[in-house]
Amino acid sequence: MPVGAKNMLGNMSNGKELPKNLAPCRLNVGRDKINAFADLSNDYNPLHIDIEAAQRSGMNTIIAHGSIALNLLWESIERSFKRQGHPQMQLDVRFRAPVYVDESIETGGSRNGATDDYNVWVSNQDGERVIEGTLKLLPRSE
Amino acid sequence: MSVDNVVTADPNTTRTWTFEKLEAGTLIGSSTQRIGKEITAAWASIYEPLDGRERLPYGVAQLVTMKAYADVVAPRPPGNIHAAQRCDLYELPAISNAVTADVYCVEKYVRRNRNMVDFRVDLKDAESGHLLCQSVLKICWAT
Repeated sequence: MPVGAKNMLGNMSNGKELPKNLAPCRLNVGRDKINAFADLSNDYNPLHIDIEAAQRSGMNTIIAHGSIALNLLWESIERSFKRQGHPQMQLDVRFRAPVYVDESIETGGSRNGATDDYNVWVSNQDGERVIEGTLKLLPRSE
Repeated sequence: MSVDNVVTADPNTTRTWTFEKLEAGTLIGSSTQRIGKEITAAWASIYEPLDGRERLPYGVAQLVTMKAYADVVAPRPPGNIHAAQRCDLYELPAISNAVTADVYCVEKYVRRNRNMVDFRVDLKDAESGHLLCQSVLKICWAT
């Protein structure tokens, strides 16, 4: 797949201006969401479903799958770029902190100067970033 | 989520995948899933539905990737932690198409006294073989 084009704006934007910021998305991560995601992903790691197991691992309580917050970020990306069609992209993130059950999370992202790159994140209700990373738009391959 | 879900992995893999057992540079196995419309409903039970969405959400590629990883690298020790992920998304899977995910152990190493494993998941259209998404998952391995 082609990567590394110097300026992909025209190719990526479909003639539409790229947004300066990502559209924010919010989610209250209740137990129902965690259980639904476990069913959806077939990921029943005890950290996500068993309070005692989570506490034995040093957590205060159950933690959400990292992918729940990551997929919220994908939702934010989709809402931000839907006018541009479907750009090809690279999302590179680190999970900085756990999301505990019943916490609220919110996505954010800002364009990095005049580039097609974005700094992206997901924060909890205290403003702590639980995910941080970069989004790069890739040149479209045929 | 899937109508069909076929997992091809080492049939001798009945024991938990320990850090010692994982071998860098190897294909661990593959998973083929047929993506049905029900995924949109399941997705909407977690995330706020997006008005006018006529195709699968962007995050489905990520979801299918994680499901393939969970299906293929199984059983896993309890307590693993997902530390980082890079995803190159080229194309979304189409509703009702089957997708195949090849799951590789790319590298394993110790960092700050923690066992780390990098997996790569290549997600392809099962029929055409066209690469849809390539992800690298960094997992802190419990044991």
